[in-house]
Amino acid sequence: MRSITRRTLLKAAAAGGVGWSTQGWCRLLADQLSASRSSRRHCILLWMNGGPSQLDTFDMKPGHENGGEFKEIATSVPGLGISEHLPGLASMADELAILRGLNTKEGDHGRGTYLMRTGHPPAGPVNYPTIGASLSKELGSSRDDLPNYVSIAPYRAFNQEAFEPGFLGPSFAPLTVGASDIIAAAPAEDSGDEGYAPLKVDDLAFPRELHPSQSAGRLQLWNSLQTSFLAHHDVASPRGHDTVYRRALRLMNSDSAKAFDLSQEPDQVRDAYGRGRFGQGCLLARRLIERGVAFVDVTLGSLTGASIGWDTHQNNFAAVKELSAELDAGWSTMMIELRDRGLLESTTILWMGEFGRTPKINDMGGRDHYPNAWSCVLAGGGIQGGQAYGKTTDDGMEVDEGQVGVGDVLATLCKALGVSPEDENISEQGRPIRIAEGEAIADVLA
Amino acid sequence: MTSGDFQELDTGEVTLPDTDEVIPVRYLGGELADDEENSRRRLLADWMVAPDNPYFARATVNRIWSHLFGRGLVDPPDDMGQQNPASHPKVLEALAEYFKQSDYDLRQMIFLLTGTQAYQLSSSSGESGDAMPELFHRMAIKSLTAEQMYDSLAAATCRLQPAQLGGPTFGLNRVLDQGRQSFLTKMRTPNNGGTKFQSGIPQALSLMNGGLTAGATDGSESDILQSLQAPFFSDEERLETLFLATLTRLPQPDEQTTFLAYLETHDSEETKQRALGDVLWALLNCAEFALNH
Repeated sequence: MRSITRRTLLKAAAAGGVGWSTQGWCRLLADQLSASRSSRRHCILLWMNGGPSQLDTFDMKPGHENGGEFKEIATSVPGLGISEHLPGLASMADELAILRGLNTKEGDHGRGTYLMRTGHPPAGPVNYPTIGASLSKELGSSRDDLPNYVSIAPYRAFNQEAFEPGFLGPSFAPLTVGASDIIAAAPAEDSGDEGYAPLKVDDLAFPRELHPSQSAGRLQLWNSLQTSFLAHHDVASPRGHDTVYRRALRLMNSDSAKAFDLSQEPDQVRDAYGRGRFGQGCLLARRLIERGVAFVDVTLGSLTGASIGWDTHQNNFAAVKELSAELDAGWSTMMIELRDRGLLESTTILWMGEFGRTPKINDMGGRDHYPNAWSCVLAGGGIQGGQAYGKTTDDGMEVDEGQVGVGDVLATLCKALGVSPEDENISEQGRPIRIAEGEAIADVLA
Repeated sequence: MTSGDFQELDTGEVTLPDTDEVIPVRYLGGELADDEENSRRRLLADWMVAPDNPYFARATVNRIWSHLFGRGLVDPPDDMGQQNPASHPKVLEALAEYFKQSDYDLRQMIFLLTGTQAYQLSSSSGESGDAMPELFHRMAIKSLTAEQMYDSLAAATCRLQPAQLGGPTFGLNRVLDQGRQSFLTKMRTPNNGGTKFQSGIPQALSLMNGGLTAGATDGSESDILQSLQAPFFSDEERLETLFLATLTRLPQPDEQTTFLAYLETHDSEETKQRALGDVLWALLNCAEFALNH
């Protein structure tokens, strides 16, 4: 969030003509605060775990043997076609900027996940923050009831660090909902309330067996201990402890925590998003954005049965068809609902996975890992929708035009959100690190 | 990465990617590491602790210092080099020399450092706040690692008996303890220790409302609360026991007033037990318990 710098204050004072006027900067402060609240920007990352097939979603190759079984359909934008299994998105193509010239160097799940989510290959001593941590630091406010970064249904087993705030520290860590990192912990898709995938925040309330009078008593005693310790130990770690606890308490006691209660939504709305984790996650994302959360990521493609989401080494087409149905319902309903609420123009959406898949179909009807030429999609606020930027060769093997790397994608995302990608944070080694290396793609920005 | 990810091979050469060109193994500084007799790991180990290697002793001593004091004499400890000088270069040199002469005895080094006046300073900050931590003019306040936090909780609430804590089976018990493992997964922080508080909102929620704390503060489950039920205890004694178990100190006079007043408003046996659970809850969740100060 833009803050009032010493320089703008001095400028305001100078403009006042007679040096320092308290009234002047009070008004400036009030103006800035109201402006910042109404111009709040939000970001949603739709994370496609396993590496989605670009050839069967957003970069179809009709008529080529690499193209596979699916048909391309026309969209609301003349000349732009996508998969027949994404009809909802096709009708909203005027919001989408499809980047078809993505080229990266990491073809391993763990390394690719780290690369795409932090903008850096995993190497060396720097713990780079996941992009949600960096962006929520810029876009969010520590005065909010809700955490600035919420991560929904992540599958972190490929690379735990790719989901962490790295050198930014734990105050920028996401609040995680419905993680499915290990098989035993993954809740069944339909085990939740009345056939919807359960997404809940762990330990958000005092244990149920607690007597109502006790919670007030506990907090009163805790507060007295905390206050007297901090009075004599006014340094970083006690202050950090106090900040984190008070934010957690605020979350427990706030009305905003109701955002997590999806049963407040009518069944037809919940059904429109899809009953699985991803669909319900997109609904939760909309509810969180409505309440001012800066960054939400929603994962599609966690563990289902024996295979991991989009990692379609075998039976690619059956799996992608199923995943596309979930993707289409969740994503397009979320965009419609955000648009209806006037929030789509302040919310930028990025769709991507850790890499693409091989154009050549293997002997098991599958596609393997392919970082050489693949696609991601930007949509919503700050994005010039209704276009495909970049192009792959007819066989899909190489980027023909508009080649971009992960740094360019993340820099473009930053710009679309009104964040300068050149802004720096200091790593634990004392090195200044930019939010995103790379060039923002001007053609994709509105 | 864990050490399980690596395997020591007795054969094999490093080649340039996509070629068969073998890259010969060299020491830092350029000299060839060429010895048929010994494994490369052995050669590396010998080179690291050779008397004429000035780096190893300095880096190791600095690391131990940073564990104990919350920051290194060279800080951050991973960034040793001319661009980042030590705050106390003579101290670092003297400690490195002592470390070499003791044949790299870690135990002796820790014994030496913890005996210093610098280590035994109070962490109380008074008026000065965060000013000039590089002078080590008072003890830094460090965050507990996830492991230290779990073990502190277990010890304070009598989940583990003191004998078990010191006993020879403790190592194995810890590996087998599933509750401990899931706690560590949840509470893991990128940089263990250090002077920054590393946990976030989910961890705070879990410590306030999670099963571990609920069990420890529930009168019918908690070992320590059950032992305090004995009728010969006065409320003062119960309070002192809980403070000693969690913060290893007696309550201050003003704390005694506040907490006793709370206990006295709960006079039936059942509500008293609940109130003691509330006291324990507050103690387990306060900054003084969660930090090494």
